[in-house]
Amino acid sequence: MKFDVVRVSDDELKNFTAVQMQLLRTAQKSKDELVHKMEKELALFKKLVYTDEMSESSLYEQKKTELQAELDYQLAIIVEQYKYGMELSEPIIPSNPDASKVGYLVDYSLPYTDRYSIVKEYYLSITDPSERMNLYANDAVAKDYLSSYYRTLFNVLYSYSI
Amino acid sequence: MSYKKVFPKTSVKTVDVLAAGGAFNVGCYVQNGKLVPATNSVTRLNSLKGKATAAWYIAVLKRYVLFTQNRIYHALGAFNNPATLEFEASKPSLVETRLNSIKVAYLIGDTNYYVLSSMYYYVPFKGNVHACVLKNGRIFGVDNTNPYKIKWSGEGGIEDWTEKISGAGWAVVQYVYGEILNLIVYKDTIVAVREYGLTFLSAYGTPENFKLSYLERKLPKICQNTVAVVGGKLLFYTEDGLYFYDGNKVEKCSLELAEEIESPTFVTCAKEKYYLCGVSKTLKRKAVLVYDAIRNTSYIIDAQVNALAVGDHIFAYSDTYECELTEGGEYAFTSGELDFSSKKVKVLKEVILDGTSDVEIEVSNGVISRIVRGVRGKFRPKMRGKSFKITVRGSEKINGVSAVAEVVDEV
Repeated sequence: MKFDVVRVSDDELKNFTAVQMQLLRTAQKSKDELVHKMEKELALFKKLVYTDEMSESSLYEQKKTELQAELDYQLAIIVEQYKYGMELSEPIIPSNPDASKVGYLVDYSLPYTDRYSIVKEYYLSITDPSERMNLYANDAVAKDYLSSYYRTLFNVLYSYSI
Repeated sequence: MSYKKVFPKTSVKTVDVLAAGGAFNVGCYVQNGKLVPATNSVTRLNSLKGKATAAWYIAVLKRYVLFTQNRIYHALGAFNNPATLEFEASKPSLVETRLNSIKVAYLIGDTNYYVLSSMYYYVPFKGNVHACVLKNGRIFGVDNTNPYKIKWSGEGGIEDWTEKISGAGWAVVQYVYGEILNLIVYKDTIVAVREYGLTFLSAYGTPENFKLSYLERKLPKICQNTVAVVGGKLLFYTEDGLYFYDGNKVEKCSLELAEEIESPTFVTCAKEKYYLCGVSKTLKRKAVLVYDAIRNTSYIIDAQVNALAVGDHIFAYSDTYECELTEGGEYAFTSGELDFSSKKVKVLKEVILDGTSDVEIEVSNGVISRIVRGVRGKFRPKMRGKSFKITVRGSEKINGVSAVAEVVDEV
């Protein structure tokens, strides 16, 4: 997906959390939908203008200006919403210094279900079941990060290793 | 052996003079076989300081307005003591509307428009258009620099020329039918009267719903300032005479005087009558052609005027003076050629008039003519000829005119 709803550098993108990424994707999707809708409406209007023998008139450019103004208005709302969402979703960096050493994203602003999915996805990427279980059993960061979900994921990972 | 002179067999034929085709009637019209006096009395009123070019009667204000090249006159009646103002307008137009629920008329010129209501004042005009009409609160006009371009104001009217989709805008018509001469509102549509055709601008709702359509027919060259709506029809004058558009088709008017005017200068309409000022081909001087849509008849008013305004009175304006046109005056009816359905020489024996007043009769066989005054009842010209024209001049209604001739029978 190409991002142009707001200016974001590649470096900034790399540091985005899943939530921030999702916010950006949602904003971009909304913009793309609006642009597509405007282009579709303008194309239809062009056909109407030709059908109505008004091709040489002020109408097409005036319609384009009107739709662009509406698009700009809607985009301003989208960007505002995006910026607000980004402010709320600044990652809460854990105090545990080991959190930066693990291979998955540690963000305490995420709900437990998201944390569970992230950690599970990471451990399932380890192909050797015994190594996977060994690493997980000694993962103090995951224990704190997942809380009661730690045990649930342990059982799930164990079932994969049998 | 005896020789007896044999005369050719003859018969007596009677024709209705008023019904003969090709008649020319000044100040009268024929209806149900009767000759009826019409408007033809011209009473000179006031002097004008300029050549009249356009005139209007503003119904909402009951005022008569005249434009004379660079001056406006307006008054409730004749211009005995009119308000006059300097006004620049190469092609002035007038629209009637309401401004804050007050009845007003705008006389639109080149760079200013003049507001007529209980007060009179100038306002700068930003529209840069002429031939203006008003529809749904918008002014429509022809661009002053591009005669193929129709411009419209926003819904704010004459002051609102900001271009946007729901506001002011423009459209250029196809070039094939020539320049736009006039605009007129007909059957809820703006009709652009072009040099060689009609173009329709359907202006419902907001401009994004506006549509142009064309009469798919090239017409004889249309004369400027000759279009008016009378009797539910759009009438306009061309080089080929008077035409009408009824919403579906364009046809030439089947009137005796449909081609009588040349160099038309101005048109107005009122009370289902179409008044066209121009030069009469027969009289060879300025005159007014009147088409009466109710009676479906036409006649000429022998008044040398450039423009007229029809309200409770009919005021007409010449190069130098104002006059009033009223019913009455002497009319002149000249029949078409009467040949009694025979190409041979015949003798016009009688002209019979069914009227109660004296008239003047002129009979002509194309070579000589005979005029007799004070005729009532019968007149016996006993004139030989192949065909005749009979002119009746009078001021009262005549119930019928017939001519009797002795015609040699055709073999």
